[in-house]
Amino acid sequence: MLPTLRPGDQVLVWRPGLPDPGDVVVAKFGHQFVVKRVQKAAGDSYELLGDNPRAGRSFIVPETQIVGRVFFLQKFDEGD
Amino acid sequence: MFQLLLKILPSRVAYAHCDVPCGIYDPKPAQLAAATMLKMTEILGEAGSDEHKRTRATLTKEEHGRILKHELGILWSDYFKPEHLDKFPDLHDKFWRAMKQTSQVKQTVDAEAAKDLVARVDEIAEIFVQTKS
Repeated sequence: MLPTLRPGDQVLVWRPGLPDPGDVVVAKFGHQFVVKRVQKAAGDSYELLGDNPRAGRSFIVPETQIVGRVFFLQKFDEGD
Repeated sequence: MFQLLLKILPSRVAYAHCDVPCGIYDPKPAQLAAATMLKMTEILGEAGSDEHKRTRATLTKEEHGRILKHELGILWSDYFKPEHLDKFPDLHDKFWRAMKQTSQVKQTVDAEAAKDLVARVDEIAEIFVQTKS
């Protein structure tokens, strides 16, 4: 999710409601959480993609696996 | 205020990389897409002359056919490796036939074909699970 997110950044996630295209969301995929931007809604799933031009594959995630929308970002500060 | 929430709320790690490769693979989205195509096929069988219902079910079946091919493609091209062929020599054929069956279920309203597709995708998912352990 470069350049938007960098390792060590922290986000707050708003659980209620459904995301719109353009929102950054946290989703459960496999056994991990991923943080990606919503490209589009596809039926009852969402297509997610990283901001990085080299992000590679998109993920398709059912609505039930969307944890929530990112609404606050605290950038990682070496001085913390 | 938000800084305080960051400090006191429970936190989990989320991954944003995924390139190169990320190692995050899951056959579940493919299985859900196949199940959706079957459900839409059944709805179409019972929709009669309800034009609106038919249209919506057809659109959803079509979209999940696209999703299914996308997800199968990811598993086939990115997850499975040459060494998996030792234990599952007909793996490529299974993927090819599942893709072709996806087209068939898109092009028809055939519940038997849709059930066959679900079974094929479940079989691939089972192979995935076996390669994980």
